[in-house]
Amino acid sequence: MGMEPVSTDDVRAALAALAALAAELERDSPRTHGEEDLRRAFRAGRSAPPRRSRRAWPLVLAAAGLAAVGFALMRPATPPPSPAAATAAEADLVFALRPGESALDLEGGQLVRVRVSSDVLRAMGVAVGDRAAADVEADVLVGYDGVARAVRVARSGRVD
Amino acid sequence: MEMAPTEPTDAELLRLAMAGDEEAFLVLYGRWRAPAWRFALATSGSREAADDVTQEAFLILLSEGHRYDPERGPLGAYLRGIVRHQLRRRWRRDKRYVALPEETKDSRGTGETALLDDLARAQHVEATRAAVASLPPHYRDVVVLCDLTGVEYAAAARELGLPIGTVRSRLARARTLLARKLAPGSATRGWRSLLWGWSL
Repeated sequence: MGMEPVSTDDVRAALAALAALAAELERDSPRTHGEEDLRRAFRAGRSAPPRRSRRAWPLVLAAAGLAAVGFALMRPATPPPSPAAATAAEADLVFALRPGESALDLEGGQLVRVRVSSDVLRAMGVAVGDRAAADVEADVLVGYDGVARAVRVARSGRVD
Repeated sequence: MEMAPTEPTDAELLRLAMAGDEEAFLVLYGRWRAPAWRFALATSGSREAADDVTQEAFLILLSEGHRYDPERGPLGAYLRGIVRHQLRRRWRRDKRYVALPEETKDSRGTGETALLDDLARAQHVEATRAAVASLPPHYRDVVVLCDLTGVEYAAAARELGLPIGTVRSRLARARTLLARKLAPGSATRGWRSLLWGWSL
């Protein structure tokens, strides 16, 4: 499959388009004003306790490890799904979005957990694994306008 | 003869800020906020991303500013490096997204066709902005620095850690790619690639 040739006129037009974009950028300016946030961050940073020394890291890591093991032993074997709290902890799972949109563009919405055929998810390009059951649990992100924006396989429904 | 007061340098302001001078940091912010934002916008093609990443860049500067070494280059280049890194993190995260199938995504008649029509009506500047954002990163970096930010070839080579000859050749190749994306008759295919061509 060969690439189509580009004419000198096309390159010249691209250079003109770049010059126009550069001029537009020069006139453009940020909309948001984050000065207050930075001021708060600056003050918070100044009032925070001094950083731990490198020597303290092994102790910190050991404490974190113990806390993790304790948490794993204490929690129920099959925790109930918690769609509302699922965003950050499961952010590594696959999302499916409408073209040209990002989850970040969504001002708000609701996460709804559903059971869906794994074949349907595969057809959408969502990785569900070859050994997934016929139906798997998935989270659907529905915007305030009622349109489904994203879907991901719930951690409990994943077969890797 | 009275000497006119001179503006403190970026390095001086950052040193004062790291020592606890809040006003010095805000002066630095006022000096570099817009250039950093424009660089983020030129690289990403997204105002939302530019807003977020610019703010993140200054928060990082606040906590990591002691790492800046003026001997290695100007603060503007250092900030652009932070912005570039944050944008790449963002793109890596967004790359996990895949499109929903046609019947699901077009439940209100605002699907891909309408989207493409809207995009086709967009201004030429926006088309160019999107085309730049869709370039492979090693080409996009040189176009943004040299063609959109006005950084000289030699400075761009230092900032990107490349020989100047590589900067020149990448720039030539990037302009050819842009010409292909923006050429008349390739609009539909071009727009699809603009939407989905984000890469790192």
